[in-house]
Amino acid sequence: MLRTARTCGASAWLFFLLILVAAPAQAGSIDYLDDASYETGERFESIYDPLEPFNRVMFTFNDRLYLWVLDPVATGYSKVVPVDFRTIVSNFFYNLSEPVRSVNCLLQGRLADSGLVLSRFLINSTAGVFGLADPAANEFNIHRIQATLGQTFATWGIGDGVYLVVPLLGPSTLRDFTGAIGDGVARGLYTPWSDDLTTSSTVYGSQTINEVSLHLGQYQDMKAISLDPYVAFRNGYFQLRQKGPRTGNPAEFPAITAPEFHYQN
Amino acid sequence: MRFIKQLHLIVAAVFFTFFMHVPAQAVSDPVEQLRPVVDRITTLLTEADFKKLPREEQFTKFLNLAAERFDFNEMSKRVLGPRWNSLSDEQKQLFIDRFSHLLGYTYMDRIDTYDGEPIQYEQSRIRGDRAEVRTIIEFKDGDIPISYIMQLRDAEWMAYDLIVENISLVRNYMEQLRSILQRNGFDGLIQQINSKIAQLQATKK
Repeated sequence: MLRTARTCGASAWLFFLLILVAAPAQAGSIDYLDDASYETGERFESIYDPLEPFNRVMFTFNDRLYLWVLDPVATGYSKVVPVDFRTIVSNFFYNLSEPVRSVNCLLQGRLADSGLVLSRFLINSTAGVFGLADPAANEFNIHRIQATLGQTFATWGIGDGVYLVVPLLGPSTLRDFTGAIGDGVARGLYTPWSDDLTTSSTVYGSQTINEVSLHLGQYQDMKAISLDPYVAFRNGYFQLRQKGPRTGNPAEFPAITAPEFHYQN
Repeated sequence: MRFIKQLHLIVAAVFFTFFMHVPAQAVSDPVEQLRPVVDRITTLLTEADFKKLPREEQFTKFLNLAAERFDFNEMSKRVLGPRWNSLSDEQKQLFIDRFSHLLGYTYMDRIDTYDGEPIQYEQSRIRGDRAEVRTIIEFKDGDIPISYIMQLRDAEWMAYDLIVENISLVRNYMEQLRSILQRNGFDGLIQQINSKIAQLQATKK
C-alpha cells in the first residue's frame, strides 16, 4: 500500500509539472496526399524536445537494455515458448487493463466505446477464461478499443508538454507518461500483485519480455536504417500518434505502449 | 421499333466517342500500374538464383526495377525540403544517387524476409494528381501495412513516399537529415549517408 501511496505522490507531482508546461493539445490528423504534411517549418514540427540531452542518455540506456538484456531473453523465450502461448499471455495482460480503458472512455465522453470495452472484459474474462482468449473479437466482433489516461488528458485540452524518453518504457511525452502512471495505479487497485514491489516488477518484466518476443527484430530493423536513431524514433513516435482520428474524437490516437518494440497500432 | 433500336445504337456510339475523349490520365489506375512492379520485385526477391548473388548485385537489380515506379528525384526534393533549392546541380545529383541507395537498402531489407506471402491491395485513394495505394503483406507473425504515395507524371503514377507501418519514411528521414545538415553541413550529411550505406551493404541478413 505504501508503494501505491508513493506512486500517487509522484504522479501528483508530475501532474503538477504537466499543468505548468501544458500547451494546447494538438488535434487533427495527417494526410499524406497533402503537401503540407511534408513541409518543414514551425507548423509541422516534431514534439517539443527541450530535454534532448537527457533523453538521448535515456535512449542509449534503453537501447543497451534492449540489446543486451531484453532481446536475448525474449529470443530465448520465443524459442522455448510457442507463439500461441505467447499470444495467450499477451491477451491475459491486455484483458486485465480493460476496466481502466472503460473508465478512460467514460472520462473522454465515449459512452458507446466504454460499454463495448466493458463487454469485452466481461466476455473475455468468462468465455475467454480469465482473458486468455479473445472471443469478444473473434465471436462477437467487438474489436480492441484503445483508451489511455494520456488520451483523456488530451481530450481535456492538456498538451503533450515535452517529449520524454522514459527508462524501460521508451518514447513518451510528459502527458502520456503521467497518464501511464495513472493507468498503472488504477490497475493496481484491483490486481493482487501490486502491493509487493518484487512481484509487480516480475509481472511487469515478464509482460515486457512477452511483448518483445512477439515483435522481435522490429527494433533492430528500425535502428539499422536510421542515420540518427534518436531522431528517427522520436519522429516515428510522433507520426504514429498523429495518425488518427478513428472514432471522430480528435484526441484519439493509437495508444502506444513501449513503442520501440511495437510498431503496429 | 427498328428506329428505336437504331437510336440505342446511335446513343451508345455517341457515348462511346465521348468517353474515348477522356484524357488517358484519368483512366490510368495507380494500383494497376504499381502492382506489376511490386509483383516483379517480390518474384525477384524469392528467386533462388537471386538469393545466391552478392548483395551489391542483388541491390542493383532491385534498384533498377524499383526505379520504374519510384521517383527518386521527387523523394530527394521532399526529404531535403527548403534546403534542396540551395544545392548546386552536382550536389543534387549526388544526393539523389546516395539517398536512393539508402532508401533502396531500407526497402529491400524491409521485404527481404518475403517468401511468397499474399499481398492485399486495398482501395486506393486518388485526389487530383496524387494517390495513396495501400497494401498489406500478410506475414506469418503479423501483417505489415505498406502504403505507396504516388504522383501522376504524364499518365505514369510514380511513388515518392513509402508509409511502412504508419510511418512515412520520407518524413522520418526529413527530420533526421535536417538536424544533421544543421550540425555537419551537406558534405557531412553525404559522408554519414555513405557510411550508413556501407553498413547496410555489409549486413547479411
